[in-house]
Amino acid sequence: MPAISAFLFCFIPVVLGLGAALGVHLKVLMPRFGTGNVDLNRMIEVGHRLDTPLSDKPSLVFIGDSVTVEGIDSTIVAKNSPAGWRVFNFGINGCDRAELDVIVPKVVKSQPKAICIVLRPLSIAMPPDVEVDGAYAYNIGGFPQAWPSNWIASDTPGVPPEIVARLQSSNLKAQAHFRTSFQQMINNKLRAKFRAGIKASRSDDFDAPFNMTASISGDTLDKHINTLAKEIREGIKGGTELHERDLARLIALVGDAKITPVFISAPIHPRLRDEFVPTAKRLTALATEWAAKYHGIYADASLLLDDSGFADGQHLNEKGRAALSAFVGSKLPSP
Amino acid sequence: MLFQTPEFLILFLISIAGVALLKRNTHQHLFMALVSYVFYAWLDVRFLILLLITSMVDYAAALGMDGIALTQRKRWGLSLFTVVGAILTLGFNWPLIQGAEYAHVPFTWELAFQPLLKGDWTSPTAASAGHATYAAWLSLAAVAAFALFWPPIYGWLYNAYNGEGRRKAFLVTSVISNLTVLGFFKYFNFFIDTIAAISHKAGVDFSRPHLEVLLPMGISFYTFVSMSYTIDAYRKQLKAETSFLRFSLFVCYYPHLVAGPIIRPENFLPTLGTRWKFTAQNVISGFHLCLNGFFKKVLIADTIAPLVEQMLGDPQGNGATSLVVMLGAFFFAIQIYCDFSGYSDIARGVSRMFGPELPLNFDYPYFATSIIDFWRVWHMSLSTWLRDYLYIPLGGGRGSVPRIYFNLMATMVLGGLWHGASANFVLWGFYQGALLCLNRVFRLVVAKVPPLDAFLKSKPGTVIRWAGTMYFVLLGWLIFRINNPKDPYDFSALAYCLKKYVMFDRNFGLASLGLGKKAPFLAATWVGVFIVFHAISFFTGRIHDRFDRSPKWILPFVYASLAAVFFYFWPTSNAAFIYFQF
Repeated sequence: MPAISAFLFCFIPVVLGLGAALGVHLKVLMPRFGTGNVDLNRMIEVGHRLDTPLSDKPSLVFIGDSVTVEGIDSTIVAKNSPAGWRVFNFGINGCDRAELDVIVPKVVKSQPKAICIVLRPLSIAMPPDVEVDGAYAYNIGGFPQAWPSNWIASDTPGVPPEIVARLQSSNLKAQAHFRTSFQQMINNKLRAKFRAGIKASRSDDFDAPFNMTASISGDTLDKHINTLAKEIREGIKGGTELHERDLARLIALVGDAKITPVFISAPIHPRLRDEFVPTAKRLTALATEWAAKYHGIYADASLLLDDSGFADGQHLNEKGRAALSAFVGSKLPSP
Repeated sequence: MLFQTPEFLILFLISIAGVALLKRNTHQHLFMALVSYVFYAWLDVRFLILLLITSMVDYAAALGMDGIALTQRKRWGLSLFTVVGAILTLGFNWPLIQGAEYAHVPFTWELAFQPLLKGDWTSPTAASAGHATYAAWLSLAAVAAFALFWPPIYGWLYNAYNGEGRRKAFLVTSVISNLTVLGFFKYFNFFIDTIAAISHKAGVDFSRPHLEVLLPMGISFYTFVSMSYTIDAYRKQLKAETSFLRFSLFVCYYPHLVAGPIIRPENFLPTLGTRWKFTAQNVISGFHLCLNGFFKKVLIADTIAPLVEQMLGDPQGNGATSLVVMLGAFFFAIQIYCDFSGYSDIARGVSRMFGPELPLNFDYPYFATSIIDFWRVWHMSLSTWLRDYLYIPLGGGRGSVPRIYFNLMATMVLGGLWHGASANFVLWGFYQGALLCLNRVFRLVVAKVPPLDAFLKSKPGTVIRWAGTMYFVLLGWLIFRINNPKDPYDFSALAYCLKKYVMFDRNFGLASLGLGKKAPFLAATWVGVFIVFHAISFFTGRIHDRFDRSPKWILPFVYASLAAVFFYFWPTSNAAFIYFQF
């Protein structure tokens, strides 16, 4: 056999094998398992839900990270609010301010009546970069298509140019990125089976998408509290001005679209209050200012709960969730 | 450029086309040298200049040893070559070419020479001139000074000495220049910090410089390759290579360049005498070796890497139990083997497709039944280099018993230090040296007790020896893996792990594994798959060799199936090879 033929003999089957695998992935695995990861699937599901406008009924949507996911039960919010509100919890685990930059334009475009952001001190701290997997999932969810021009600048915190490139890459590339979806799905199923204290929630649950079913205590809680304290110290080390500006830009997008912004200061664990006080005060001042400027609502729930309402150092348990959801509902005006 | 990236695939296809189509060996080698320089430049173009200088100095030194004087024209030609190389590597903004994020940026000469003009290597829009500008100019000036002074120094060395004196002079020049470059770029901060730490203990504190020296990729590998050539030339074991092209290709040949195997001149240089043969057998066999390497690197090493980090990244902070530490050591042992031997397999496979055969680097080290055996089959190209150029010149196994043990310890400590400028590598070297000494003592003792000797040679005895060896090997990997990058002399995490490893705490909790996030189930499955295949391979013959002998009709199905497996299980982020950092 000539060497060139040998080369083709090796490489053509490889190309065919890769092609077949890609086909099965796109046509069979992605439609069935999505990314294989509930959190990433949720980014896609939220994006797809927002493709249908929310302007048909007065809608209140919650956006934010795991504090929103664990802390808000839409049905309790609706029950405790004036009649007429339709409530969605679009919280996504890990959706800090950098990810809010990615998703808010699409949320605004779907025209809800009000958008509720659960604020916490980390909202004006340096956010970590959007992860590569997250960037591709938001891409599939169609979020970047809703961005106003020049929405993400090269200095937008947490969204560096290489992440923007992934957010805006082709849909095929984004789907191919999740080629490990099947193994991820198995891993997550096994995780849910073996690990106590969490439940497998559906990625398209926009009512009560919480995962945590137990509270931690003792050494584990101490460790979590210390980690959070360290996180906030690190996050605000470089000052908060840039982050305040970035958050203000988000709020302006909401306010300028005549959508009512609703700000809630998230409950702070009693053991973290001292650590969080200066940043929380600054946040209160900002939220009050923005609420006045855009005819929005600000409600402070930072002292709402004692430690029996927390599942860990920051997430709420069932009791806390019910209390916060009822509190938020009671602050809503009539639609 | 990592082997598992699309850029490498393109470079490889270009290389194979060049090797296949170019008919003259000189053209083939010139082409391969250029491709190799591009390969290295892709990793970090700034350090390409070091590679060029190393090649130039050692090429000239070996010729000088053999009494072949470089003409003035050739000397100045080589000088000009380094200056042009320096301008291209230190002054040109390569990220503009490499980075997809700059695709929309129109090319201008100002941007192209931004490193020199503004000291900025990455952002095409940055305008601030920083100290990087001075660093770029300083480096260029250093290379220009070298290029200016090297020809007369060479001439002076050549004329001032003759015979054995000249040979020694050129050897010393080569060794000093190589070790200076290696010492500065790899060990400068480590040595300064070590001196400061010792002084601090003695109550003397002084302000010390801490330079932000970046580690050139693969510097330890190519420096050893190049040094072996000049030492062999000094020992008259080879004739100096008269072609700079052939010598520079020997140093920069990209399959071995950044992580070995450390090739020897006597094996590689003869292959450059004729045109490399691009044969069907080599292509298929090389391809099988590459598949084997990718299987180990991508499916095993990269899959378990996050879990190893979870277990051994912060063992104290996570409160790792003895079981977790042991599992961490076990998984890291598999990771480092699959990562490094996977790289070696890919390097050997790629090279085999071009023609030259690179040496075997690993021969089932985890089936070794003693530490001495382990070092015969682990990173063989390094251990034989250390044996031939360090251990034997020190006296090797000859001389008094303390001297032999000193030779062993010195070789292993320097071998440990070769891995990196960190105290834990030195400690690891000490540990391995001590184990080798103890192994020698153990053998002498056992030889004097025939029943024990007979038992240890029996099957149960072999299993016991294997288990004992692995226990100490795994403990060694903990020393290798656990360090504090912020403080190289902080051994608290290592001490914690060693205590947990040696004294089992009877806690079978796995909570610190962080079940789920780091895919432990998948990692465990792949480790299981690896162990089964590795054992089959050990007991019945290497799997890629069996592929070579398989009926041809079945191979396309195997390739297609493996491609699909790679597609579904290839981790979504590419991890660099562990040994790149050395």
